[in-house]
Amino acid sequence: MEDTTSFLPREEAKPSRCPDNSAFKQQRLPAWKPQLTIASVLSTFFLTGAFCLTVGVCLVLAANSVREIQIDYSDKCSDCSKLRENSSNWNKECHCSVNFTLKEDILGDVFMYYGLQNFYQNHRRYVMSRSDAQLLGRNVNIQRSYCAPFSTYRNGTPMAPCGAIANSMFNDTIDLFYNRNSSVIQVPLLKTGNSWWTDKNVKFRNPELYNLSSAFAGTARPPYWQKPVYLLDEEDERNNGYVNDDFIVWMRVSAFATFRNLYRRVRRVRHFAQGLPAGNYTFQISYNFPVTRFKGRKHVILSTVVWSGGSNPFLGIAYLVSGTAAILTGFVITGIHLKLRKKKTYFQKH
Amino acid sequence: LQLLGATAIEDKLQDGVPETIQLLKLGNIKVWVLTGDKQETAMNIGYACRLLTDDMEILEEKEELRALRALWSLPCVLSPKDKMLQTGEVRKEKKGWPWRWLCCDGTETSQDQAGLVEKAFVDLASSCQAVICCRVTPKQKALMVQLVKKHKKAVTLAIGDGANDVNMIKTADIGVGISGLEGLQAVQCSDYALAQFSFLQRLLLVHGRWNYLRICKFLRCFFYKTFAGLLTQVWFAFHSGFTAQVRDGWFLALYNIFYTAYPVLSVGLLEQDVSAKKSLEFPELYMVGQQDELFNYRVFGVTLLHGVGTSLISFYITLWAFEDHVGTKAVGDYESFSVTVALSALLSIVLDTQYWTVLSFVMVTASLLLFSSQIPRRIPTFLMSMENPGIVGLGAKPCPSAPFLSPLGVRALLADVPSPDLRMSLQKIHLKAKRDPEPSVELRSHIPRGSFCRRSSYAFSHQEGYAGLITRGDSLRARATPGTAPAVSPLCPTGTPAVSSLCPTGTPAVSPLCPAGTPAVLIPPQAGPTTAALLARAH
Repeated sequence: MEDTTSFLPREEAKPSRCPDNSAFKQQRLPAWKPQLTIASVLSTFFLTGAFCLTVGVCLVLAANSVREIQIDYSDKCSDCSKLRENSSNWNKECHCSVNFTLKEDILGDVFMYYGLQNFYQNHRRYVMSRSDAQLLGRNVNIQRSYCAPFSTYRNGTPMAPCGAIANSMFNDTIDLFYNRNSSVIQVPLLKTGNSWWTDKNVKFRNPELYNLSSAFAGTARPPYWQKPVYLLDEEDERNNGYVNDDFIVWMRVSAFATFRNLYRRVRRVRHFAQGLPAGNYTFQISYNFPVTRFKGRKHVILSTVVWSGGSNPFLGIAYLVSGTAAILTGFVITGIHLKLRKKKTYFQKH
Repeated sequence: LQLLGATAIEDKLQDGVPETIQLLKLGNIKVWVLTGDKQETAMNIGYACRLLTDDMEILEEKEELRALRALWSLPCVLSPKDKMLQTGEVRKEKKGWPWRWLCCDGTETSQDQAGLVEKAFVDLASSCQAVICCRVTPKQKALMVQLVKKHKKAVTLAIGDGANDVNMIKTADIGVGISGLEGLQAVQCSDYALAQFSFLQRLLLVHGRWNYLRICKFLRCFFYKTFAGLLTQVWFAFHSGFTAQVRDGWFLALYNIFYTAYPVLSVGLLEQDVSAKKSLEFPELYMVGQQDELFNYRVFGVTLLHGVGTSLISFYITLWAFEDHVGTKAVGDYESFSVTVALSALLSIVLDTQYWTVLSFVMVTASLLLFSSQIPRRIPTFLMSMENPGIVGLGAKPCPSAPFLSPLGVRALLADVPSPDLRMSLQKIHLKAKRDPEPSVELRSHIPRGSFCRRSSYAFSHQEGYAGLITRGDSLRARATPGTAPAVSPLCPTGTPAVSSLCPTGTPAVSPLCPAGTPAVLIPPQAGPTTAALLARAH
C-alpha cells in the first residue's frame, strides 16, 4: 500500500554547517610518512658512515698536501717590539729581517698571510665602529654613526675613514726576498685581487670627484695612520682610497681572536713561475703594528691552497670520526636487533 | 482478565553506541552510566550497549555494602588488586540505600568519616570495570562527578543530552552535549557538542589523541630549536670577551618569528602519527596520553640536553673548521662565520616530523630561504643592497663552497640523523628489558550465568509492576521512611522515597571513574529502554 501520509524530498538538504570534504579540512592530506624500519635505519647509518669516511679521507689527504710555513716575528723582532711600545716613537722606522729555508719547492699558487693572535676583532663595540655609508663614498654626517670616538677631531675635521676598525688597520709592510746563489731577488707579489668582488666593487666606493685627493678634501686621516687614505697606494688608482685591498681585507673583521688575513700573493713570473723554489728566503718587515701591550703576537704565513681550504685538518678528522661513529652505531644497532629479535617458535603438530 | 491492549514507549539506542563503548573501554577509559531509570532498566541498557557482559560479576546492593564495609574498615589500605575484585565486576548501586546503612552503622558522623566513606566508595567503584548508577537525580549526577574529581586524579568527561545532565556536564572537566530531540539545553552548556553519541569515539580517539600528540611535539620542537639556535650566542661569548653576538639583533629577534616559526607551526597543526582509521582500530594508543608519556619532566630534560648538544656541535665544529683558515680570498671572517653558525642552527628546524605533507616541505624550505635572503639583516646594509641589486645584503662570496658547507654536513650528521634512529633503538631495548614473563594461558569459563540468558534492550519488568497501584488509586508519593538517622554525607539524601515515580526521570547519564589520568566518560544511553506499562483492567 502506498504511503501517502508523508513525503520526504528525494534529495536531502545538505546541512549548512557541515565542513567541506576536502583533503585539507578533513586532515587527509597526502603525506610522506617515513617509517623507521630496521632496514632503512641500518642503511642510513652505513651509507652515511661510508660517505663521511670517504669525504674525511679526501679532506685529510688534501690538508696534508698543503705546504705551510708560519713564522712568529713579533718574537724575532724584539727590539722593534720594544720600540713600538712607546707611542711617541711613531715616526721612527724600524726594520726587521726574518730568515727561513725551504727544503723543497712549493709548487702552485703561494699565498702570504699575516696572522694576529689575541687581537679581538670580534668585540662588539669594535665590530660596530664603522660607517658603511661613508665607505660607500657618500657625504654623510659621521657623527650619527657608531664611529665614536674615532669620528671627528677636536677642530671638527671628520676622519676618513672613521671608526675603530679603520683606525687600527694593520700597517706592517712585509717583503719577501730570495737568496739565490749570491744575489738577492725580491719575490714579485700581487697586492690586488685579495678581497671579495662584492666588497671591492659594491660595498666600498671612493667619493666621486675628478681627483682623489680633492675628493677627500676636508677630511683627515685617522689618528693611528701615517698616511691619508688617498695615499694608500699611489701606483694603482684602483687600489687607492677606500677600495684599497689591504684596507678592505682588514675591514672584513674576523670572528676569532687568532686570525690571519690575506696579504699578498706570489706572482708567478720569472723564477717563480712554478711557485717558490727551494732555498733561503728572507722576510723584510717594516714593523709598525704594536702588539705587546695586549700580549698579542704577529705571524707571517706562506701557504698553498687546495679545494678544501688550508692545512687545517680538523674538518677531515671530524668527518672521519663521524663516519666511524656512524658505522659503529650501525653495528651496534645490528647487534641489538639480532639479539632481541623474537625467535620464531615452531609449533609441532601432534 | 481480558487483555485489551498494550502500550509501549520506545526510546531506541542510538546507532553505534555499543561499538563506541567497546572502543572506549579498550582505550582504558572507564565508563559509568548514571541514569534515572530503575535498576532493571539500567541493567538491560548496560547489556544492550555491551557495557556489561555475561561473564562479569555483578555486585548488587548487599554485596557492595559488604565490600564497602570491608574496605571502609581499612581506610588507608586499599589495593586495587583485592582478590574479590580480581575478575571484572560490575557494580550497581542504588542511590541512597547503602549510605544510609553505613551511616546508621553506629559510627559517629563526622567530616572525616564522610571523607573516608567517600574514598572507600570511589576506590571500590574505580576497581570495577563498569559502574551503573540508577535512580540518580541531576544533583546527584553532579555530585558523583565531583566525588571522582576530588578523590581520583582523573580527567572526567560528562556527556548527556537532556536538561537533567546540565549539572553534570558543567561539573566535569570536559562536558559534551548531544544535540537531539530533547532540546539544546545540554548543548548550550557544554564544551563540545555532538550530534550523535557515536561521534564520541572520533572526538576522543582520533582528534583528542592527535591534538595531544601535536601539542607535545610542538612544545618539544619549540624548545629544541630555541636551545639549539640561540645557545650558540652563549658559546660565542666565551670567545669574544663576553661582548659580541654571533649575529646582530635582527637575527635574534626574527629567529623565533620568521626563520623557525613555520615548520614548528606546521608540526603543531598537521602532525599525525597514525591515520584516523588506525586510531579507531587501536584504541590502546589512547593510553599514551593518559600516562603523560609525551611531555613530562624527563622528556623536557632530554630535549634540553639535545638542544644544548646541538648548539655545541653547531658552534664548535664551525669554529674549529674556520680557525686558521686559508683560502684564495678572505675567509674565517665574522660574517661568514656567523652565517654558517646561524645556518646550522636553522637546520634544527628539520625536526622529527613524521607526517611530511606538502605544507611541511614548503614551510621548511621557505624558512631556509627567508634566512638566506636575509631580509632585514641590517637596515643600512639592506638599503644598500636595494640600491645595488647585485648583492644579497651580505655581500657574500659564493656560499656553497666546500669549507662553508662541510661543517654543516658534519653537524647534520652528528645532531640530526642519529636522534630518531637512536631513540627508536633505545625504545626497543627498553621495551625488551621490561618484558613481563609470558603469562600463562587462562581458561575462562563461558558458562552463562544467571537465569537471564536472553538480553534485550527492552526492559520488561519482571516484577509485579504497578498495576496494583493504579487500580487501587493510591498516591504515588512516598511517605518518609521511618527510623532514618540524619546523615552528613552529601550523598545521603534525607528522606529519599523508597519508590520513585512511574516514569524514569529523564535520560540516564553515565559517569566514569578512572585511574589517574584516564578520562572518564559519561554517556547517556539515549537508549531509553522501553518502559512498558501493561494496562490491565481487572475484571
